[in-house]
Amino acid sequence: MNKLKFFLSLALLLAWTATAWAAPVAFERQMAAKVQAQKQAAMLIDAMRTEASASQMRHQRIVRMLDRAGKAINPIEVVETHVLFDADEAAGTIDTVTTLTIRATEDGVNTAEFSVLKLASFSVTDGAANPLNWDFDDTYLVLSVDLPVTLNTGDEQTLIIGNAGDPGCDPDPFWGMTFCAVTSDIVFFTGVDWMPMKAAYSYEDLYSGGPIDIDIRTPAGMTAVTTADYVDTTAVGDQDEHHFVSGFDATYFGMAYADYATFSHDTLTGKPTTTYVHQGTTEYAQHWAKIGADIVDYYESIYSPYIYNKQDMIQTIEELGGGVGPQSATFYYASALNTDPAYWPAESIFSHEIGHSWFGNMVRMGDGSSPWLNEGLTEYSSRRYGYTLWDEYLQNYLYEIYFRYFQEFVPPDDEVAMTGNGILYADSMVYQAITYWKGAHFMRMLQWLLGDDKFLSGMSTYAHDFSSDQTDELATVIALQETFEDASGADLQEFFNQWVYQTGYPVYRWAAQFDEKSDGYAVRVRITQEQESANVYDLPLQVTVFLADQDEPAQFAFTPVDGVVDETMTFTDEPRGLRVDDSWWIWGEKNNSLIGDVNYSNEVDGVDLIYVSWAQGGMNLDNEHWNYFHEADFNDDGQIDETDYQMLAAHFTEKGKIDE
Amino acid sequence: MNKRLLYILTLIVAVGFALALGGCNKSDDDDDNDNNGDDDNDDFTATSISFTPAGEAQAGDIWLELAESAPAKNTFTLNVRGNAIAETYGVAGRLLFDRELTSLDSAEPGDALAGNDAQIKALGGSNDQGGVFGISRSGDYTHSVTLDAAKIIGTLQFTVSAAGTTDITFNEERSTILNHDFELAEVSNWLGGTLVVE
Repeated sequence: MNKLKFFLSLALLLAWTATAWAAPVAFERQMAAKVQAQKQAAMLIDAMRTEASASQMRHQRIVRMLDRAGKAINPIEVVETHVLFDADEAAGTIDTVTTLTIRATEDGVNTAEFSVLKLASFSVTDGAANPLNWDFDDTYLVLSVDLPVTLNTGDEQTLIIGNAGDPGCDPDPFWGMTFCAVTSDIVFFTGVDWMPMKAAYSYEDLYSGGPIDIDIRTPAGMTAVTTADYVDTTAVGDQDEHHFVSGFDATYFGMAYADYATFSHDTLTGKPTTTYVHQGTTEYAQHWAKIGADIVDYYESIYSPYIYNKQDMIQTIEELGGGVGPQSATFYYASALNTDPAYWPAESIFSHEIGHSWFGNMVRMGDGSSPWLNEGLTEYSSRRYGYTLWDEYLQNYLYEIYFRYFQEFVPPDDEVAMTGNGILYADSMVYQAITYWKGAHFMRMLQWLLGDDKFLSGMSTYAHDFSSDQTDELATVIALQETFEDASGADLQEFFNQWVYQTGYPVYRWAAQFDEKSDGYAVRVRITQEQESANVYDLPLQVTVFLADQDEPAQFAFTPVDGVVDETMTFTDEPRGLRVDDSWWIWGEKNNSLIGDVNYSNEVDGVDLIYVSWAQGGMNLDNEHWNYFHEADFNDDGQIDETDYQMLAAHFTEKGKIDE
Repeated sequence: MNKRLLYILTLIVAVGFALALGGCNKSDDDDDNDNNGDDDNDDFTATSISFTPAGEAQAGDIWLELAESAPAKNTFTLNVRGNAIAETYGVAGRLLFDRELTSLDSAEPGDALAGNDAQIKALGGSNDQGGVFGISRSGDYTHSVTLDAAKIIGTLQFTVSAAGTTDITFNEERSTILNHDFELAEVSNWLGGTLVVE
């Protein structure tokens, strides 16, 4: 073992011994919870699928826009955007007027380009309402406006763009997705494509817009909310006009109005977190407002200051399916805010969407082939917040279960690297599995590798230094790697090579042997790697030994030498079980050599029989029944059946041993 | 040191080493996962096999009782019973007894766990300290049963291999009843008994 590996092992061991272990729980309770965890995780996948699909389409759209054929440099910046929004709720149509103040960034500018979804009624004028010539590229949805005068550097021009008609709320699989509903009950949009934004030719350009202010006209008595800050409401005829101002640019905008009830709770820095829920679904709204504030407080405590003035959590329609997370206002399917917070892990959708305030909004991605920089870091953050609410083993199961789902949904030939062009055009489930699940697990592995202190040092530096209030620089994978290398002093190139730029994962096989000695017990564990790829993974491996008469298990971290761990530990108490990577730090398989040992007691006994019997008939990914244990599926065929029972019977009473 | 003394000391060390090796071999034998238990004395034939329960069973207890003994075949069978223990899905027992005397060969399901069309699974076998068994409902993961003293949870088949007496006791720390939610049932007493083989 070289010095670095020894140091890492020691550091990790110390980190573990310093970490408070969750209250001791019976293994049986964990197994029961695991079944429920499978059920909840399956529901989360459905909710996440909507966001994952939108995320992929949005990234595809940005990449296409940046790469559009025949594009010219668009030498303008948007100084300010003002939107007047009105809707005919009965007809399901909208009427918008967007006033843009643009500024030339070079001399001799005659045209300006904007990205917009053009509705049936469309017009462009100057600030004095004089019509301007314009052209629209239907392929790339790019509006080109002939400016009334030639602009030189610093010159400003006002443009007024009218866009009215049916917004077309159906998802557009090629160009992206606009979540919207225009009914008498609710009007909401996220990812607003009818609002013209500067057509970008680089990622830097994409984020170069100025603040967006919005006035929303609603039927009298409605409550409106958007990604800008509320100012006041005035009466305009028989309508209310709600005025909002924003000090921030936004590439992902949202708004809603309905007959909302609102409930608010301030963050520790005094910023209101407000739930907007429909009448009749208010039971848990105050509780969720408090949790929303707690989520903001948590991310501020470990990452960086929250730069927005408020956080709104907005109930939309059930058909949204999941959530979306623009800055300062997050939107959710209807049931989310009407779910009992005691229901694990009901908070995860909120902690994910609010997490996008940091990764996606404040920290802006400048690497189109790495959507995991947004989604993976956000999902990691969401699960990390979950550890503050729930028992550790429950949150650990999320990592385990999503790895299992990844194995189920992503055949080896379909797997793509986290970073690369393949991810944008992969199957949407592959995109979700790689970008969200592996992305989150990658960050967890980094936490495990570096230890929590150095990891959080890196995360807070990354979140702070790349926050849009600190820099115009955009975040990239290289920047992330360098930030963590600076924070830890470790060379992470090989780690990033294996996990970010390559596919595959380790397949560990382990065996344990318990021997009684004159002065106690010796526990030997041997862990080898049997993945097909040539990669050898040198991440430390967590080994947990459960002891008689001890509430807390003994924890170790061993770094493989040439891919192998072979260690012997001694104890005065009798060992009752051993698990490898019990906390699921590592994205990979960990297979027990002792067939039949469902509960990892290192002996095949009657308890294992109960588990296998209970799970008889259980099938992986069976939405009707929840009696599947991966641990009891000895032949790994996705079902617990007579074959598994026979395999258990063949090994009954066997104890773990290490064959030389 | 004269040569004679050196020779004696060498002999003592050699004999001690040989004995130690012999002990290790014995220990290795003990560690074998021997399920048939009949390899110690193939020539032995019992003339009587008796089993005396450790006490009077009460509600909340799990106990063993002699179901059948067949000295001529060197076998006997114990019933596993329980009474008034609610929410039982499966019983996992760990028995301690003298492996020189007897071994647990197998387990068969009884009728105490039946109901709701569940199958009953049972497995038993010996380890170095005694035997382990499991008896469980199967294929119905949503129901448990309340144990009825009149019914048998399962039967345990033993083979004897030598004459003598041994207690057959439950290792209570490692004997368990689980319900269908994997919650542990509280068992007042795990009652074994005494085996006498002649």
